[in-house]
Amino acid sequence: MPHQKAFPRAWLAVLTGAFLFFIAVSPALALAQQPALELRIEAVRGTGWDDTRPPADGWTPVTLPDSWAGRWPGFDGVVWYRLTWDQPAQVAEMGLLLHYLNMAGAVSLNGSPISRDDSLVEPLTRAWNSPRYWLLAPPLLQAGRNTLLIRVSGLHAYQAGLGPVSLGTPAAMQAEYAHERVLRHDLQMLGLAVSAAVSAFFAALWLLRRRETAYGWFALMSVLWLLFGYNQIATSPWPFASNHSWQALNTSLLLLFSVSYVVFALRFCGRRMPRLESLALLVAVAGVLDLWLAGSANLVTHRALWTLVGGLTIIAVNSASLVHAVRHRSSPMRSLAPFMALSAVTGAHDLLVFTQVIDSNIYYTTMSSYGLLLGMALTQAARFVQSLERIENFNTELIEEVNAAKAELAATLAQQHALELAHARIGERVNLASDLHDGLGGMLVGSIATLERKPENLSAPELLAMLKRLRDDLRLIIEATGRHDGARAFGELLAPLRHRTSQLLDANGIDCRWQVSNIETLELPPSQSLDLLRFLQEALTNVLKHSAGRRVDVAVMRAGAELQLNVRDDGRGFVVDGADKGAGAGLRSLRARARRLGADLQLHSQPGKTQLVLRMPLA
Amino acid sequence: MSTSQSEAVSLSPTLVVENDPAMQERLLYILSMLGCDEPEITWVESGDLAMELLETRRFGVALVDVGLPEGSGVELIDWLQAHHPQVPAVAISASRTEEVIFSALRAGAVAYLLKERDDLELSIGLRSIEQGGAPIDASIARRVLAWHAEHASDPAAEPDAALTPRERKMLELVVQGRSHSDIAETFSAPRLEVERRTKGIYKKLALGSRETAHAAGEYFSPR
Repeated sequence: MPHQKAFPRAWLAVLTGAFLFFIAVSPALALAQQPALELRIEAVRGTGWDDTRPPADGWTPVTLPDSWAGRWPGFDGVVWYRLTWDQPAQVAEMGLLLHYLNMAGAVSLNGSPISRDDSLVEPLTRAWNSPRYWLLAPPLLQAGRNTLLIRVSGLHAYQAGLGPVSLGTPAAMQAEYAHERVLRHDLQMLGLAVSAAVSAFFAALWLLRRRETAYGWFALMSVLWLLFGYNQIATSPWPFASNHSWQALNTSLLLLFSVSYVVFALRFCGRRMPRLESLALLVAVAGVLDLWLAGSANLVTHRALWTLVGGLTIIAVNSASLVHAVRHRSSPMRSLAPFMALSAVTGAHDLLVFTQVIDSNIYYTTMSSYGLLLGMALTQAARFVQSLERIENFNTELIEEVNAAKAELAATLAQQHALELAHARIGERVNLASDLHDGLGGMLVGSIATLERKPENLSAPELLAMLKRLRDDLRLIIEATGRHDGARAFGELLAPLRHRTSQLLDANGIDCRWQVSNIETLELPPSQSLDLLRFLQEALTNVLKHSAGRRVDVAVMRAGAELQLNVRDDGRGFVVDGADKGAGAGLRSLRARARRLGADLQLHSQPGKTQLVLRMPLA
Repeated sequence: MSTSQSEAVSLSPTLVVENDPAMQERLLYILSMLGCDEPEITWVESGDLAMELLETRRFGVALVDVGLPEGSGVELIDWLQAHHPQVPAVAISASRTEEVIFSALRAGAVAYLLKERDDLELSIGLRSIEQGGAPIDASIARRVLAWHAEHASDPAAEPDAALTPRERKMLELVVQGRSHSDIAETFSAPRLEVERRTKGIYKKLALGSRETAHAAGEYFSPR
């Protein structure tokens, strides 16, 4: 399928984008580290949380970024940083960039406050990820010596200290500030918003399709990550009264996230590993309990330990997913693999930052995790498209199948119809056969019997008449059944008899007039047609042999649901009542035929006018 | 109606190609009733013998049984048409199968007679033939109409072989089973005119067939 080929390209584009992003970020970081002016930096410990001015003595030179935990282990409280520099007289204004301070702080320049965070005592304002920028100008900025005093309230457990401070042209500093702001705040914010939207989407997906547990776990995982990532932009430990609780929560969230990440990865690959899952959950729960029960004094080590556990778990999941993607061609992880790889790299980086192996406090995992979200969204889109195509194909297949079924049905019906037709024909043949037996057979049997009983009394003409009757009947049978497979209209079957009898009567000086109406399309069963033809033939034979008339009128017509045969001659007539007993064998058989046809036969005879009327109801 | 089509046929001398003794006897009786006495009748039992005889003697008419073995009756009629067109051939058929009668007519028979008919009917038919006419039945009329309908658009068809509207109308009436006198009344013409017209139709059929056969290169040579 074409779209499957298209998607790796999409992954490639995303990967390239992420790569370019890092390329763009790195030089900016390098630039930020270069101080624009020669700064002298010193620090001193304050005596209490509520200090308003620094102690006079005890200043020690430090380098930025500074984390005081190494110098003053276990110190929670206020540390003052003094940055002094010599300002050339000709410079009118300067840009000052403070990358971060940890946690809360106040800044003054030459004794004038220029910034103060909300809360300088617990719950401390969480300003650790907020870069600050000031435009310094006279009279605040003095020619010659300038002193920037930074008061930092911090907790030793959380890398308390001061980040890099840059002085330079306002334009350069502002640009750097904007860069820092994007990295530390805007992107995090964007990531959180995306994360919220995607987790809502996958949560809805899971709610509507509970079977897709992977999506449920993904939603849960995203929410946990969202809460964890909120740390990056939170400016207060609310709802907690202390930063210790906040940090405990934060690490707990990381642990819970790592567990749901494990489960998600397994579900996404369509796997269940109850033991591993339980173990992960057990570890996470243990971690959470430990974090909340550990005293603030021990929190640092406990937090580091559990953060490490969480981080390593995430890296393990990423690696395992990559291995799965490489090993299994059909692995659903294949589409997520690039994001997993990115996540693994940033995870490792952030872990190194956390453990202060890398001297930075910028964490990328939160951002790279949005790549994972994007990957999930794309995977989902791909699956959706695939499903749509499957549905479309299914529709096509369905239509084809329906058509095939229809054709089959039509064929079956046609076959059935043909069979019924064949049956009907066979039925007709059977009818005809019995008809032959009754009619022609009867005549033969009668003739044979007559010949056997009194051959001496039978004259040649009588014998001839007998044979001719047989021949005529045979002819009618042939005409009525014919060589035609299809049914024929009675009007057509009638034509040969009409033609022949007319010619014969004509030759015998009897004027024969026919009136045929409304039977051109009348179709009757062959046996019925045959009986009607026989009836007419006998009636006309009687006229020819016995009437001594000059004219005969024959009418065959259909009127409504009735077929009417009417034979009228101007011959000498006969006595109707006596005719059956006497020589009129013809009349007897006419009555017999009428009965067989289920028709009504009426005879009227008087000299000069003899009329036969047969009325047959049509089915 | 042109009288050129309605040449009378002399029933004597008559050549009868018939291998059935009973039929020979019947024909002898019927012919004698029509004034053709026995010395005027020559009997042969096969087409080959008939051909030999026809090469040497003149006959007024040849009555050919189309039921002779191996279809030699129809072949003889065809040969006769090709070599001695002045001798009219009348097909005598035992079978009522239109196929045989129709092929005899296409081969050039001027008329046909059915053995199954009464002597009276045969003699009426022969009388009609003698007067330049020909009998016809509904089934043959239907067949002729169908043949013309099929060959109407044939580019090889001889224009002279096409049916006139009047002829067509007449055949349609025959198909309906109308008798010759009935048809004659419809056309306000003597009955004989109808029968002569029938003969004309048969001639057109033979003409058309011959043209078609030539066009198709199927015309078979006589033995």
